[in-house]
Amino acid sequence: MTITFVSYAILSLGLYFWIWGTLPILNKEHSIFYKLHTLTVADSVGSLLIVVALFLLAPQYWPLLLVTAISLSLWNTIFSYILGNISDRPS
Amino acid sequence: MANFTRLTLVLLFRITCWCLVTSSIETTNLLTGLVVCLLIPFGDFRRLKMRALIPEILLILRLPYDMIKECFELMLINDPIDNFTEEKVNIRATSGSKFAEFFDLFRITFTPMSLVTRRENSDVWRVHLVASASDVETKVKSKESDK
Amino acid sequence: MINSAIARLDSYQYIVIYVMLLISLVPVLAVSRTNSTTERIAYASSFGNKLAFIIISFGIFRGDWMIGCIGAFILIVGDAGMLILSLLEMRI
Repeated sequence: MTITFVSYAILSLGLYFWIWGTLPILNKEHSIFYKLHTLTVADSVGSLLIVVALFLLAPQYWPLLLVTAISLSLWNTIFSYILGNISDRPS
Repeated sequence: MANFTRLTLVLLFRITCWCLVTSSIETTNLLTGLVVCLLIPFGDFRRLKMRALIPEILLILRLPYDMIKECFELMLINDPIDNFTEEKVNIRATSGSKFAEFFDLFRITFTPMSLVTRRENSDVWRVHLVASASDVETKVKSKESDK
Repeated sequence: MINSAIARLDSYQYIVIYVMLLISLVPVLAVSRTNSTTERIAYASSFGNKLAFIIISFGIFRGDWMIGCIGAFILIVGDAGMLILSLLEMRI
């Protein structure tokens, strides 16, 4: 029961990070770099928190969730590096 | 002998990946995985430097704490402006190990507050940070008043 | 054989899924509001990420391994495609 409660608390924290990180991309005043930072908050940190919550909820699915977490962090990191590199090109 | 150890480590890593993806450790599955791992080309595993790699992997362990902390730091900034700085490349990464270089980039970019945009020269990363506009103004004013 | 007791979701699980769906509509709106290709790639990858997570969490709430597998598949393959697209953008 406690574990269920803790996992739902982490899940709501992850959802809050999703909302906070996704809403600034509608604002046209921010630069693309700030948007990349907030997308990192949403897509890496929020999603990893959701993965942790799902692991606490259903521990028998750990191989699936571990593969998800590793691929998520690797892809998102390389992706934001490449997008930063494109936007920061000296023209 | 050193090459044999490296080969074994690469094979062990690949079989671990195989077992994770298929999520079973039955004998037939392990044998299939071994065949698949041997069929994938090995590349130049002779240049693998374990000495440089182990501290980098250990440094990853403190990433979760940094991650959450920098998230809340980023949330407290209301008026963000761009701030480019330069950061020294780790000494293990400059010694020529490709993996150590990758892990260094990974550690900087993974946290929400900092983002590597370019490699300036062989030992400096160009890093983008978010700064608060009001903070920067007060710093400039204090510098002017110092003069 | 699927047990019908597993297949039913609790009400707060429904709330989680619907909140996720509503958040994932924001990147679609953002793609339509910008002209820059780089930003569009970033928002599209964010959309794909969120959709994959909806599927994974739905599969795990439902207790179904296969749906979760599909979600992990979408996450890995979709992000790889977006990565190749951004590499192409970098070359131009």
